[in-house]
Amino acid sequence: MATDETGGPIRRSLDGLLDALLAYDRASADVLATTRRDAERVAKALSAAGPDGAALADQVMELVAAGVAAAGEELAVATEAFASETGALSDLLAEPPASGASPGPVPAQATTSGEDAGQAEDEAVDDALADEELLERQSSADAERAPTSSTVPDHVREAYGALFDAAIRDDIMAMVVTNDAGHAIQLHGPDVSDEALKARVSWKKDPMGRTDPKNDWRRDPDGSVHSKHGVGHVAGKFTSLEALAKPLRTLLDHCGGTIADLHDYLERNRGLRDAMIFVPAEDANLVPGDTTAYRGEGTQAEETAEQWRMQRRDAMELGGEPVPIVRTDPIARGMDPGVTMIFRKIDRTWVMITCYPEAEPRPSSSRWEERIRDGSDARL
Amino acid sequence: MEATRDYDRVMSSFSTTDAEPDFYVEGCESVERWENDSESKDRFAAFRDELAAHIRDSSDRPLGRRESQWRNDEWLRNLWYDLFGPEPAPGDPYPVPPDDWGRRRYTPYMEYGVSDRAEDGTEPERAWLAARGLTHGDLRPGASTRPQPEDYQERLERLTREGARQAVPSERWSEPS
Repeated sequence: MATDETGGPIRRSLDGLLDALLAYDRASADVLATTRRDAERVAKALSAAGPDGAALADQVMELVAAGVAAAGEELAVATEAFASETGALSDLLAEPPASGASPGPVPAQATTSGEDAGQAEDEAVDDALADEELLERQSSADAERAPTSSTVPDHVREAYGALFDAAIRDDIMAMVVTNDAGHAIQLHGPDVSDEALKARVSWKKDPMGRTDPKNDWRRDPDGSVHSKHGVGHVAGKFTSLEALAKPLRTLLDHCGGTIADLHDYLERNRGLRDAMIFVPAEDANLVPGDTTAYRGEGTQAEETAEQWRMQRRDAMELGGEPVPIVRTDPIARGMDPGVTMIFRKIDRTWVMITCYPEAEPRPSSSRWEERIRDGSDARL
Repeated sequence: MEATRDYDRVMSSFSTTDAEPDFYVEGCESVERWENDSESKDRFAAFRDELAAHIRDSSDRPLGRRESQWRNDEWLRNLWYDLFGPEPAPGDPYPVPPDDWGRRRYTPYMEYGVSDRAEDGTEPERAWLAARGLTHGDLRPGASTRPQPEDYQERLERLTREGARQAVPSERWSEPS
């Protein structure tokens, strides 16, 4: 596939930075306008104050709190986008451009948000500096040396099985371990090395080392890397078998405890083929340290994640500099963390295809979680 | 209308692209089977109708808590294209020009389902491209969304007033008090 005609990764980063600046500016202005409107309402309410002073005071508190919360949330999102784009740009500028292209001068952008903008910019710089300290990069040569394994050793199988009641142990083993379709332990278990996780997210290298067309990985002498292995901008794992087993145990308990109960639950909640279940971290008793992951730097917002994935694509295609990654603990650091489990019915029985930690639920699983908590029929 | 439970169940397979995009890709390669298999065809048809309604009314809730309604709508348009091709969803108020797909508009299937080089392509991937009049060489990695149209906010407010959708938290300052 051809590279971007408009000038490659540096140009894209510049565009991304400018977009982020504009978005930041708009969001800040909106929030401030809202706060001002709220303040006007408060003033009006107070000017009409009669004997009901206390009730009005409560109203004031509510409005102010709502305004502050909205400002905080919007500014945080904008600040993060700003910080990550700035980081990406400075990283690229620190390296000699592969194509010899010059990024050119950065046009000045006027911000309209006054003092608050100044403070948010300071925070953005702090964020960028904090991310810088955590930054890691793995060369494609190191990725090539990262270990792979597609088998689950017997002692690991036994240790996993021992985490479940003897009455259902064999069924759970068949569901999670002793089938050809599932890869929860192989891709997200404690034995996946840091180097394998880094190679997965940075260079799309399958930690299982599969060689089918969808997973085959190759590094050519020119440094270019070829792979279609399915991974987005984060690769995570559980740090112990106990942690990996927690969400399934939670789900089992909720369903009634037998394998038949679990099968019924999955049948009721399946999509067209798979049943995808998101269990919030607190429901699964997952705690900080139970998970670890590498994610692309600055990928917490979708638009910056997209930029990062394009950088990775360029790095792979051109044999370029490794993309910046950051180590994280999705359970400890996520906004609304939990575990996604995906089950598929194969030969009339359900197998767990995968099970991985997430910093926040994705769209439909987010609703799913709310409905679970609402007490509707798929309650967890 | 709010998303139905069954829509969510079907949609869940398409929402794992951060970590496991294979499920999205496999879903896009299963359309023909889902449309013809007696066990799935009614559910899939209902999903298709509901997806179109959410694109029309901006009534599917945004991706995660950080995303805007507009970006979510655009994500749904990408999914529609990835499943059904360039004919826009019925009633789509902001259809993507058909020629933009793959050239100025990049979708998750293009990102994760299409190989860099034609010779690495799988059979389902070739069929997907052919059905959309594209070749490997046509694809240009790029933006997956467009800027929010000027009249969009107004439209959201009207649809919210009319009860076709519910405002999401990021819109709360525009809610009438």
